[in-house]
Amino acid sequence: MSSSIKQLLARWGAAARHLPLHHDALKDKLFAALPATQPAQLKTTWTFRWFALAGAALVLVLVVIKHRNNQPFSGYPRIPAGQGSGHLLSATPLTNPLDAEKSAYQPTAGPSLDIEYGAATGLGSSDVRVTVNRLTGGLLGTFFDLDQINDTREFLKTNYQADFKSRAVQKLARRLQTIIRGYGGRIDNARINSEYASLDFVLPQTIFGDFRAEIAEIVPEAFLVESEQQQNLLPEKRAIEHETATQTDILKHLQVVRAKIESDHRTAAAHLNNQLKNIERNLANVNQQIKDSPATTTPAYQSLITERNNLSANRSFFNQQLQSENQQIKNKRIENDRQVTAANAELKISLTEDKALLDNVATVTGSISIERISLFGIVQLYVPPFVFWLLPIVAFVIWRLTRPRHAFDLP
Amino acid sequence: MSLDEELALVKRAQTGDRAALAELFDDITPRLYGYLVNTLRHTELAEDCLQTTWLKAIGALPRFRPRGVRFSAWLFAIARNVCQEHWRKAAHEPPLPENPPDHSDQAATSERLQEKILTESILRQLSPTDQEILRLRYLGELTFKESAAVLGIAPLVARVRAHRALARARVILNRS
Repeated sequence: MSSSIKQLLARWGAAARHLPLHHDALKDKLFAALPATQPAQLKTTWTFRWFALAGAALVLVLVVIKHRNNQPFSGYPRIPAGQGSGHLLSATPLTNPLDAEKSAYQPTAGPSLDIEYGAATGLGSSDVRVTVNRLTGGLLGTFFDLDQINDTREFLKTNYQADFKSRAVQKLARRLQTIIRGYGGRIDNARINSEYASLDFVLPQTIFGDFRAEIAEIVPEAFLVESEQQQNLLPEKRAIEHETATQTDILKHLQVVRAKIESDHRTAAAHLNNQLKNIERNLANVNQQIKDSPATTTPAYQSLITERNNLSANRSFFNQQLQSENQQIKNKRIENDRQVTAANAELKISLTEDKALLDNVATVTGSISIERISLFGIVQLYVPPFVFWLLPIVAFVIWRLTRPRHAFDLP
Repeated sequence: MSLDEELALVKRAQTGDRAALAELFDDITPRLYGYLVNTLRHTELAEDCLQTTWLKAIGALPRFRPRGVRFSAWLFAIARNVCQEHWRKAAHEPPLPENPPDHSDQAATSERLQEKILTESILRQLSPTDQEILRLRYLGELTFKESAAVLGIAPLVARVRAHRALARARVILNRS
């Protein structure tokens, strides 16, 4: 049927083509007018201007896209709050893992070194740690890594970072706060406004998997970027163990010293007491002889008096010796007790640090940032980037194909 | 007449060769006149417009640039402009009585006559835009590119427009 309508039109067209009745007259009239016609000025059109316009539009679109892509994802740092080995100095008694976390790490009320440095330099937390290690000469790492190669224990500390994009920032931030608290976590820092939100929190390690699963369901996959970082705190653990062993050895040594002091004291005191007993006995004999002596002017009597005086002097000397010995043992006991107390205190600190480290490992330090996303941003999430380059090109091609064209200038 | 043949004649005409111009006139005028008659539906008016068209074309002949289309397409574009000028002027004047369709062709058989009446009936039921594109294609024997140049549209659009006009004409034909 298609050919039939075409054939019909073709035959109709052929039949409609004919010369006018006054063909020759018209032809003559035209030729007569021919010399009078003047060539018209050529009107130039610069069609390339459309290329220039299209190119400018394309550049403009690309600049806008590039500008939007370069926008920082969040006004808040993306690095989990402080981590590292500086917390070993802490010795505060702890009651639960979350307190341990708070004590062991930088105060969360203010930004940590990682955050400040990371925000200033754009480095991630691991980069910051590398830089800090470089600056400190990596003392902790190198010192405790000497025989660490054979120690395969793991004390993994987890740091978690989640970047949300949402149209309702405040609503999502409040919901996340509720979820964190619902999982027994603690929020250390929260900054929320209509455009951005940032939450720093601590969660028990045991429920971390469930927590992640729940927050992942809040928004579509494309609207959430998660990152998890684990660090083995073995160097810190080994430092604590080293300190504990040292203090235990010191305590044992002090006990040995104490026993020796007591033993020496007993020997010395017994010797002095024996001396005093002998002197007392001799003195009693001399006193009896003096008492029994009939004359007081005889040389024998004078000799007894001299001996009694000597014995009295000796008794005084040994009494002084005994008192000195007693004072010495007292001082030694006090010194020994002081050293034991100090060693016990150090040991207690080490044990507390050990507990803090284990509690620290038992928690997850997390940070969540939420950024308000524009509708264009949503499109960017789902549309591959090359489409934004392709669209203007396709639009340009379509325009080129469908634009009105004037193939010639009409008189 | 092919594009190259037409262009050769145009070049000669541009240099003042009257024979070349006469050859062009004889070749193009039947199509152009047929187009004008079919468009204006008035023979005398069509002749006037034909004359105006040729006069304008001859006057502007030196500045004609083929740009991939034939000289005849340029003439059709001028003719279309002349028609539009006439309609603009005629809007303030009483319309001329439409000439009855010329069915006086003695050679035409009854079957051909019926076919012609049917085709014109189909065309009249189409929109002016559809009529125009079919007129240029089948009466003016212009290509899509040339039709597009005459109508000031892209060749792709001309192709689509012609395809849709044919589809609509086919529907009307089937219905009748």
